[in-house]
Amino acid sequence: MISHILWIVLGLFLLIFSADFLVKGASSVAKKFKISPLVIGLTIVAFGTSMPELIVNLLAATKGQPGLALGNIIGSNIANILLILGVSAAIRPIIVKKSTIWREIPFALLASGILLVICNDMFFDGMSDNLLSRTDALSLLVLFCIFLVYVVSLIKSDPSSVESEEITVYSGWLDFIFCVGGMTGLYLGGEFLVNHASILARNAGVSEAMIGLTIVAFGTSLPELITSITAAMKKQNDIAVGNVIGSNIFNVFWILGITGSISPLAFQSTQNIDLLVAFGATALLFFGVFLKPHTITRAYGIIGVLLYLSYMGFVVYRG
Amino acid sequence: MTKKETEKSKTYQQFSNITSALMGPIMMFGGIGYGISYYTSFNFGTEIGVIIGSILGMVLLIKEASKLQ
Repeated sequence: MISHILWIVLGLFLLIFSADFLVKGASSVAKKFKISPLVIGLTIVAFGTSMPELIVNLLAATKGQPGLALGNIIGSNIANILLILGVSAAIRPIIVKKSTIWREIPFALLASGILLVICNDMFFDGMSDNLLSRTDALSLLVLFCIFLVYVVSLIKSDPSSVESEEITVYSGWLDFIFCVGGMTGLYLGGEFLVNHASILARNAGVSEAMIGLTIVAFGTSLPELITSITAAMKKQNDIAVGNVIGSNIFNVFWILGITGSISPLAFQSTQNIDLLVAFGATALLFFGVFLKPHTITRAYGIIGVLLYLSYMGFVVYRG
Repeated sequence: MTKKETEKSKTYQQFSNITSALMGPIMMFGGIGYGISYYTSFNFGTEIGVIIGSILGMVLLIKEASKLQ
């Protein structure tokens, strides 16, 4: 059992570092093609940093492990709101922008709500089974395009709202090594993680969804958690809410959209509780920012972390 | 057209361009793949078609987004 956990941890490390390499290489190539840093940040960096989740989902879906794929996304969204924002706010209360409260959080609520509807074909359409089908996934991709246009228009109206990082331009060979090495690492990391998560679930007698919701979701959210804690300690965590909410919307519309288009995902009715928790956590955040206007308070942060720990306890107990 | 209407129509145009940049290749290659799977014994046509389409769609989307600046 321990060896499988070690393989999963190795897979996670490979995924996180390979995504970083791929982003570096692809950003350098994009800069050589004279693409503006803002567009690189919006597209290449955003797509690149979500690559671990995408690869895990693609491999899990094509290997017939839809529980792991959906569990990874739902678990990641719950961890983002309750754990990452919770820890960050517990260290230092976060100021939330008006656009985040009235546009991004409702957009994230919409994403959770839509997921709840499209996954429950048996309840809403009277079908014989629940499936996130190709047509559902293509609709998610169209919603992703609306989100992208919204983000671009938001940045155009207020360019200071986004942090554009300095992009280093490497030589052609280094670009090639970063891109190919990054892609190979992502594939290998994904393979290690998905294969051993499946064996671990079988050996421990638990569902693949549980492994997805706990180890995999926590592992893929770890870089954001570390970044948020560091930012909170440096008193720079105000940008965290937009990023975290954006990541949740990205996870549902982009990652599930692409995964479902490639391989439809079967949905177990028991996972409805997890979807409801994700929806409830987003709603809690929406109402939480009204307790003290435009602020995620320390009390909300502590409650969020406690709720996350209780939910993890429930998931492990459910098995 | 008023300035507000021009802005609105510009946003619709951007949405239309971005959506067709991403969805066009996915639908086209996915459709071709589906056709191959339907008429031959090759089972993974749609999957491979959608993968090729989404990679191409992503490149076109980045190109389209760079025009929005």
